[in-house]
Amino acid sequence: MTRRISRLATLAALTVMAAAPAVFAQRSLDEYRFFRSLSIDLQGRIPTRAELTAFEQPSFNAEAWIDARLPMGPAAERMRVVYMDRLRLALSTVVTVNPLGTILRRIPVTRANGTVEWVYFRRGQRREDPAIDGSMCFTPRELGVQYPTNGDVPATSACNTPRPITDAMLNERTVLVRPWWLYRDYRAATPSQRYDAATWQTLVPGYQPVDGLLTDQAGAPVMAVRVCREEAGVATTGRPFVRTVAVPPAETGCNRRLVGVPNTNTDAMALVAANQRPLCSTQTGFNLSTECGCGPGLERCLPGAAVNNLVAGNMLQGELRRPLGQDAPLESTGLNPSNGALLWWSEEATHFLDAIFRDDRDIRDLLRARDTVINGPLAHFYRHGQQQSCCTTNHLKFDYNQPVNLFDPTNVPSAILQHDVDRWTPVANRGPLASGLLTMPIFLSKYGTRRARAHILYQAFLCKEFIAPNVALMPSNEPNLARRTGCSGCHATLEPMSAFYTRVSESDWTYLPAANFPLDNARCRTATPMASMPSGCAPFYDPSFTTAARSWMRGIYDLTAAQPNANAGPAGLANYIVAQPEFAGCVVDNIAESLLGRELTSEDTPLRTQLTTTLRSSNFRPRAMVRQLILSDAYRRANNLSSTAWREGGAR
Amino acid sequence: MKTLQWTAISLCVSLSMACHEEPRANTEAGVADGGVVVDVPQPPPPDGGSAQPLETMPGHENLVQDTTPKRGPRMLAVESYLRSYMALFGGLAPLAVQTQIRSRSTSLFDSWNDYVAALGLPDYRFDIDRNTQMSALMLATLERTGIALCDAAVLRELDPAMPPAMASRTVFAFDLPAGSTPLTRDAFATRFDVLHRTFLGYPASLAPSTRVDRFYELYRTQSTRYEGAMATTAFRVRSNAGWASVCYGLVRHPEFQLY
Repeated sequence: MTRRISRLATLAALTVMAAAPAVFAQRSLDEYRFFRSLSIDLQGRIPTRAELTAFEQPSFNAEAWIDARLPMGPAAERMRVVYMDRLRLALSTVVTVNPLGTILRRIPVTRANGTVEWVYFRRGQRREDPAIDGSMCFTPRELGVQYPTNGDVPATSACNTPRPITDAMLNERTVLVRPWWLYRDYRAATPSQRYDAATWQTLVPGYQPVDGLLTDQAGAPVMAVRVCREEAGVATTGRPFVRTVAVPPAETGCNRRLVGVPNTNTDAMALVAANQRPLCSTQTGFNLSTECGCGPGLERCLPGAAVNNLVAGNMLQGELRRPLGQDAPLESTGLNPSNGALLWWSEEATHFLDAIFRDDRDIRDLLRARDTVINGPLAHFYRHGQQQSCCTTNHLKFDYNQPVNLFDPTNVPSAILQHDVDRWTPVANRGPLASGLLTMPIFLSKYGTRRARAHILYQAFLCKEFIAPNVALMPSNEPNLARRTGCSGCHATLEPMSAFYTRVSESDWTYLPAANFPLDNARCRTATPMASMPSGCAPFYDPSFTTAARSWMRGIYDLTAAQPNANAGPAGLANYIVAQPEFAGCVVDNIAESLLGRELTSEDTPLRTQLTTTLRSSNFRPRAMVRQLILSDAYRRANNLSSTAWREGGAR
Repeated sequence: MKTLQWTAISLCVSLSMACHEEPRANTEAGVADGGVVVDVPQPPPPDGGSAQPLETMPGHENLVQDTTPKRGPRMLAVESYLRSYMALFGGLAPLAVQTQIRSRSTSLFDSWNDYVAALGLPDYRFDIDRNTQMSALMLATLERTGIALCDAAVLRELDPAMPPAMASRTVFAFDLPAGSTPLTRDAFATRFDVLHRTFLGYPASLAPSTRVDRFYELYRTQSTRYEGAMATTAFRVRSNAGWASVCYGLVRHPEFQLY
């Protein structure tokens, strides 16, 4: 049985030994254990021998030691892990992010002199010649090769008799470009700062293109890439393309087109009638204009090093996840543009959490802040990639072709280039619609539905769970689950929270503004309930809440009750959560349970109350609360069994 | 928590006699690897006594009682384990550690990606939570990575031909006398204290009283075992096998993996 050592007594032992004449203070086993725990939780590792020696000095001051480490990266990481464990903000590579408008594919083209050259193209690229519109800029007939949807052409394929492309045709259909992935100064008139593995590791740490992008078919360094002419377009907006030439009969056999000829004249004519030019970084621009290319240095597009019409192939060397951070990789593997996007989305949340805990910011910023931290690939995504989910032909039916973004692309600092893989830059303001983690693509994709988003926030930030009441489920035609018997026990809370996400598309981040998408849309009403809705309505308006008198947006369960939440958006949900009385206690529970390695019990009620009070009184800056926790008896006793006792399985 | 404790106990019993410092009455004999007789702890017997308050017993009126709740140890987060591991490996990055180990032996170590899940790292991509309970697979992985660490440290820091500077040694930060004769118990104890502090974070003098003797027995036995097998072992000096075994015992010690 060990004697109880009060916190004050131990602290006194750790802080007032300066008067002792010995070089080394006599520390107890409990003190050593306490110091080891502090090192593990605040430095992320066991103490070194040198740190132990310092700890043994009479002048060692534990509180000063703690205060020096709380603002440092490892302590912030310890807090970040608490929330990442709860929110699990990462996506499996089963999820693919391959918007046609940003992915550059490539296939080999045989030239008249017999050499083979890669030609890059976008699948779906609009071209005035209907024979190649929406496809590669050379037809299978011209190439003599029918490329499959995935991978290289099998050697045994009957459709693999390459025909040389004349120089005249090559120059007519393609151009040479010095692309962003090879040149740091790709925006210059004549880029000259070509990638060099040795120097770029210092210039742009972490940026490492895969070998297949650096050398050509013969193994020589690539100085410029050949790309279909339309893809090399640098316009920021494009004239809507209305085809006036008849589409030729479909080819068959080895000359069959891989994709059909786009049929978008109706949408394009509507834009022409409205005198509008879509932005080239949007899906509308990509779908409807031959003038929209990949921009200067192909900066809007991401290359792949494979012969692959489905997935572009690998672009960078990197990792699929970084549990120890970018300085301590656990693997080195090829990342294709999709895998890269998933990694960077997750890393954005990681860096955002780190920034909040490192700077001891108001923890409510997790949900409410408009700032974030991004690297080069994320800068590319927010400038170009995010807008590729908008606007489809369905959006255009609501005159929505200039997307309103949760992260305003104009707020991305222009100095961040795509090469800045390991260089993370704060962005002070993403825009008026941004709200902490709640509007980040990783959160919106991980929790794809409105209810899933509300549910995880309810769990992680209010520490509450939806538990169905013991009520019989009766047959019901009531579409409002907040009212339906048997469902309302949970949905009366869940539906209002979900309604905050009414204006953010599910499994996506596209914002649906009120100007284009009224909560009740007369255009989408139907003569009879559950009848087929007008074209384009079903993705946005809920058939269950559509009649001759109403057609409510998806997410609206009761127009009067949900309207304020829908209009408030994710920021409104953030304000709702942080205003709940459970919020502060939940922060304490999350952090205390992680640091103590156990659930809090009724014995911890006084501690929990103290910590909650401290958190509130420090304006929700968590450091004071964390400091109080690790100086508490509970933390000191987090492992207070003697070595012998716990070997014997004893609880006391 | 019981599962964790008993799993940790099993680890000690099966793999390192050095973990068992204190003789207990309620034990039975067992035989571990190498024919070493060890004690197998039994669960405490059911309390057959009455619930009489202690202070009412004659002579106990003024006895100080410890009524604080007792909590067992918690597992080192896998990130902390890996950072500690890398620090002991000389501050190398994980991929460099992997490369270094595999350059010597591809059978000793596969890849971090093969191990991190077994070590309990959550995989948010697949909603796999952090593992907060020991498992047989985790123990096996701790074994494997720990042995790799010790072997690499022995080769790096106890090479008599090219001994590194003391300041650069992260594990075996002590000198050894020339020759291959095992150290005496006292000479061992001062060096063992360095390792004890390195891995467990406190002086061996504060450990259970039998710990130094048990580890010395381990060291001496293993040093002797390799006496005639110089040509078949990676350890160039006989006593290095003993130090490697001591390192194995500490890196696998529950007090290293828990806190």
